[in-house]
Order: sequence, then C-alpha cells, then structure tokens
Amino acid sequence: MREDMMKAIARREEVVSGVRQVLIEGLGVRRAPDEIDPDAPLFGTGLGLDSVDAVELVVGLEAKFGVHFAQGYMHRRLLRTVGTLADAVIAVLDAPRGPDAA
Amino acid sequence: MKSTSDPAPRAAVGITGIGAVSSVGLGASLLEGALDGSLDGIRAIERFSTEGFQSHLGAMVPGFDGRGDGDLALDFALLAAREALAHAHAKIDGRPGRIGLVLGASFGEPDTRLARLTERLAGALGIAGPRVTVATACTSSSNAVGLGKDMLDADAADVILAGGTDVLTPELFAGFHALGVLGARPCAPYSRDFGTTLGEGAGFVVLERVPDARRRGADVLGLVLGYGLSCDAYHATSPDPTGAGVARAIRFALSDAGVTRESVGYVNAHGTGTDANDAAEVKGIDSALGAASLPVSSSKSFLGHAQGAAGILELLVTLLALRAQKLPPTTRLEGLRRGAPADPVPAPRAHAFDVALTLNAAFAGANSAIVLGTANARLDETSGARDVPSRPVFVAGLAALAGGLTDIAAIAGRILSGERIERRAGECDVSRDLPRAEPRGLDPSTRFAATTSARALADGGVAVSGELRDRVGVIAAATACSAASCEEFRVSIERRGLASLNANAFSRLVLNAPTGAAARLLSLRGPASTLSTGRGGGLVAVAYAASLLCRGPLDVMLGLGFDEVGGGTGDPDGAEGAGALALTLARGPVRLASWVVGAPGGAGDGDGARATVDAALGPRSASEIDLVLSDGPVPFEGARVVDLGSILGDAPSACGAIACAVAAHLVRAGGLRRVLVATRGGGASAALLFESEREGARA
Repeated sequence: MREDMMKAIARREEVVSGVRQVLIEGLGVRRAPDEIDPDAPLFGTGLGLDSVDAVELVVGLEAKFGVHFAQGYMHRRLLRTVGTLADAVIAVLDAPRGPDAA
Repeated sequence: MKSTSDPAPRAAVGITGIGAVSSVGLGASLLEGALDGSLDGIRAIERFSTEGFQSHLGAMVPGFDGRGDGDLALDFALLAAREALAHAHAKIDGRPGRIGLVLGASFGEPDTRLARLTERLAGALGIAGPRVTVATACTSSSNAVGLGKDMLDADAADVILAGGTDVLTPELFAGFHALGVLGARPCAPYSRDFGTTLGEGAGFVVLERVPDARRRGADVLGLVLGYGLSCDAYHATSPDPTGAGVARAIRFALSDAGVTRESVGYVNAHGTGTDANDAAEVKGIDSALGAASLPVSSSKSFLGHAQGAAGILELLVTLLALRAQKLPPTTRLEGLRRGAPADPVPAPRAHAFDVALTLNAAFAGANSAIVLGTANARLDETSGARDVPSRPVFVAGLAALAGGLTDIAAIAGRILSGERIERRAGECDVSRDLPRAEPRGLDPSTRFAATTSARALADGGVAVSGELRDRVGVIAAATACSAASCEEFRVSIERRGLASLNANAFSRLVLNAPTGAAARLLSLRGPASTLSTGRGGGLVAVAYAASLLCRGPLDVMLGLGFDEVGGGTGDPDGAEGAGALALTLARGPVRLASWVVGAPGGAGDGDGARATVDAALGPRSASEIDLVLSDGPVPFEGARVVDLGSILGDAPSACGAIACAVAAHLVRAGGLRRVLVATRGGGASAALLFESEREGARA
C-alpha cells in the first residue's frame, strides 16, 4: 500500500475517533467508542439522535476540529453516519480557501 | 381542588377584569386593535445585541428597552395585574385570604425557585389567598386560567387572579435560535415564510363565580366554560406531527365545558409560524372539531410568541373578539402554505358566535385548550354549571425515593423513627424501572420523576398501553429547573458563546421538562401539568391530580413531586428525592378521602392552614386520625404529628409527595386507619386524608 494512502487511512481513523468522542462526551451517547459502528445510522432507529441533537453535533464537531461549517453545509446526507460526518470534517479541513469554501 | 361530600352544582366561572402588557403596549384595551387588524408588535430587538444571530426580531414590550431584564417579569406582571384588579373593582382589602393567584411562568432564572416570582407578586398586590405557579412552558398561562377556575369550583377562594408573565432574555432568544425555529422575517403563521418571532409580556383575568360577581354588581365580560390538558408524550421540543395531542386537549376541554364541538365558533390557535407546530396543530383541530369552514387564526402574527404569557394574551384577544362578535385576523398572510387552516381569517370580519377555543402547545409536549363563552352564552342548562359527581378516589400504587432508598417500607420506618435521611438521592439508575429508556440526556430531575412514576404505576399493577395511554396523566410539583441541566447550559454559553449554546440543555430549562420526559418514557398522554408552590407543592400536585381524575374521562392520574439539589447556590439543608401516587377510581384498600387546598398558614384568624385541615377532616374528629405527616409545623392537636422536614431536609416539592406515598403505605400495610398529610405552605396550604377501606370507613 502506498504511503500517502496509509496516511489518509490513519487520518480518517483519527477523525472517526474524534466524531465518536463528540457523540459520547458532547451528546451523552452511552456506548463504548468501538460499539459505535461508523456506518450505522445516527438518527431515528440507530443511535436515536434527533433534530435537536443535530444542532449540538454540528457545534460539537466545530469545537473539536476547530472548523466552521458554512450555513447549510451540514445537510441531512452528511449527518447520516459517523463515517459521513468524518468525511464532511475532512473535506472542510482540506478545503483550500478555508472552511467557508466547502 | 377540594373533594366535596355533597355534589353541588358548579357555578359558572366568569371573567370580571382584564389587564395586559404586550408588544403592542400597556393596557388590555390596546388588544382591541386586533379586531381591526391594525396591530403589529414585531420589530428589531434593541434591549440586547442580536449580533451573530440569523434573526434580529422580537415582539418586545415598548418602553423598556433601556432596562436590564432583572425584574421585568415582575414589573410586567404588576402592571397587568393591577389593571385587571382595578378593572374588576376587586377589593383586596376586603378578604385578602379569599383572593388567590395562579401565575403562569415559563423559563425561570436558572438556579432560582420559580414560585418566588409569584410570592413577590402576591406580596406587592396584597394577595393572601392560595398562590400557585404553573410552569408548563408555553401553556403556562392558559393552564393557570384553567387551574384558577378549578380553585373557584373547589371554593379555595372567592376571587382568582390568573394569568402569566414572561420576558424575552438573550438566553431565551439564543436557545430558540439554536433550535432553528426563529424566522429572519416576522412571524407569519400559515404563510410561505416559516419561523416564529419571540415576544414577551403579561396578562391577567380576574375570575369569579358568576353568582358572586352578579351579587356585587360586577360586569361579567365572558365565561371560562372549561379547559383541557394533554401531553404529546412524543418529544422534548417537537410536537407530535399527527396533532393527536392537540386533539386530546380539545376533547378534554369540550367534555369539561359540557359543550358540543358544533357549538365552537372560532379557534384562536397557538400558530407559532413554525412548520412543525402549525401543520400538527391544524391536523389536531380538524380531527377534534371536524368543521372544515371553522375560522382559525393566530395572534402571534402581531403579538409574537410571548411564551409563558402567550396563552393569556391570546385568551384576552379571544375574549374581546367574543364581546365584539368580530374575528381577529391572522395578519401578514401571504402565500398560504400547505396545511394551513381552511379559513385562517385573512381580514377582520363580523361573526356571530357564543363559544371560542384558545389553544396552546409547549415544550415537553404539554397542550392546553380553553373554552370561552360570551357572558350570556345561550347554551343548554348543563353548560359551565353542571353537577360534578363526587367520586371516590383510591390509591392504586405508590413510590418514593429519598436518600438513595426506594423501598417504601424502609423510608416509612426511618420517618416514623425520626431518623435523618441522606439529603442526596444517590445514583438513580433508570434501566431497572425503565429498561427501554435511552438514558442519554436525562438529568437527575428527570430520572427522579420518571423512575418514581414508573414504580408507582408498577406498584398499582397499571400497565400503560393501547387506549389506556390516553387516559393516564401526570401532575407534578417541581421547585426549580434541574441544577445539572442549568450547569450544562451555562458551561456551553461560557465555552462556545450564546450563538452556539447547547440546545439540548436549553430544552431542559423549563420546570415541566422532567414531567414531559416521564410522560414520554411511560406513554402518558392524558393531562400533564407542572406546578410550584414552594413548600408543600407535592400535596397541591396530588390534589390537582385527584381533582382532574374525578372529572375524567380518565383512568389513572399520577400525582408527583420531585427535587434535585446541586449548583453552588443551594442551601445546605437542601434535599432531593421524589414521591408519586397513582390515583384511580377503581376501588382499592386505600381511599383518598379528601383533598383540600387553601390559603397558606398564618397567625390567628388568617390561619388558612387550620381551615384547610378542618375542611379535610370534614365530619371526623381529630381523635379519629392515627397519624399526621407534615413538612413543618401544622395546626393539629389530637394525634402524633411527624415533621418530615427535619428528617428529609428541605425538599419543597418532593417532601409532600413522599409524605403522601408513606401515608398511603401505612394505611395499606394494615396498621393505620387514617393518616392526614398536611402543609401550611408555601404559597398554599393543603391537607389530604388517606383512609383504610377495610375498616368500613366509608360512613
């Protein structure tokens, strides 16, 4: 495996772990980190989050990763799972002209 | 709220005075402008900065922009209350102990007791009768009017000043902003633009029994025919999208008023302007009233959402509409949205109607509906003055939590031996009593309320499912918002700023949040309310639960009281815990033989507590009482009086409810025939008598 790919995987792991931390510490989800499946739905029947939690989740991620999501960026599709959230965070972190360009 | 041995006809309750402070100015008469569609109280907020927010609008009371918001809730309330009392020519210096106050208030200052506001208001007005604070968020003031009517029905007072007050603070503004419900443009219910505009203000009605009012020559402006409460049992801040909760409140109200749905000529809706509220509410109205052509309008398009004062201000608009026989429009209607009422009253118009409904809905799933009638409503003879059958009420189940103890026999043992109980409740694990509950976001108050309610129902063998869910309700006493949630809210503002505060914690800053969560976890969809009287609140809650149960149609009512300590401001003797009784009409071994709420204790002739105790004893002599449980000194001679205050510590709302659970346990366990539970109050005295059915005590 190429080195930059390894790096990217390791980084995603790190972000996924940060997202889980926000869920556990910020939203009070009572699960061990590795019990939160990156692909399981967060809302509805999954972790049981709701629309108020969505607000808290976005604010928590902004604080955790020092990013700012432009208004309207965090739409429903990106809030689906831990994995989609991690991708959204990475996209903003990597955005060339600062987070608002995302 | 008193049990009656003789079913007496209820006198109709009338409104004899009104007062208001709102975004359209000082004075109730200004609200008449609603009837020609000329009012608009929504403008840019100047009292505090809205920088960093996506909305800058508020429906602020004019003339107070230069002020801090420290005492505004009291100032608004004083202005409106004085206007209402002057309008009614109600003489307070006559019999101050026979004038009561029911104040609806929503978001208190974190870490303070909401009932203090009511006590300060009563003190300034010279009101010495029973005082109750209703804290059901945005239904607070409408629920207050309903409870005020009940208190007149029960002869707890001769005059009741009922209403509400609320102030728009930066924290409230930020909280609703975080929830995403504030519109960038002014609140326009049923129109293309979604979103609400918060407001503030205060309003009061003076309520009297109509024969009393006529006797003293007072004008009766209109009638409060009845009211209904319900709980969505759905979500902390989102309404049940089916509108079923709203429909239940309407049905309870029509049944209470004894009017048919066909007689309702107008509905003043909660109509906040948000998509979630308006669509659900209209579905509820359609399902309960079924008339496609019924005029339905929202006054929030000009008053904004005045939160704890919303219900009373909208009731006043409705009352003025009934008097003028004219409909207040939903202003700012532009491009009707899907789900709007068939007739949202786009412009004011003349309308002949005798009966109107005002609806409100709140955080924690509380819904309320009030049935108003014209002063001379031509209704059949049962309306508003029907007989209330005296129905025996029994204790189906009970539970208590104190000092980490949940075994009622153990708690009773400690109380009878006078052994001090730990002030802290310890870890309260919800998984044992509510195995399916997601514990996330449940603060200690909610854990106390939910687990104790669950155990009281389980103790009574009540399995809440199917249609029974609509016929079980909960009335709780609470003292302050959860200290843990207040702290979480405060820390989120400190760390992240107002604009990014914790919306979850914000939704728990209403006194009724634990009650609503308990109702949601247990699927209790009947009437739900949360009140506060300071000391003795738990007794008043159980009495209110019993009174609603008698009126039905209900199977079980929970009476609950809970307290949580914490934060830096609590007093060292502050204690926490919870108590609950599941009351039913089905015969059982323990009967709640009487429940009485009255003026709080005092010295000499003004000793309301003595009159309350005497009324609860009825024909029984003091020597027939085996034991008295109290939360402080009570005027009673002739039996052992155990003061739970010295054993449990200062748990104003929980103590009375725990005392009721212990009393019912001691009667059920077989040893005692009659146990009286009494308080001097607080804002109101109360006395409840628990009697064994085995001894043939039904004489």
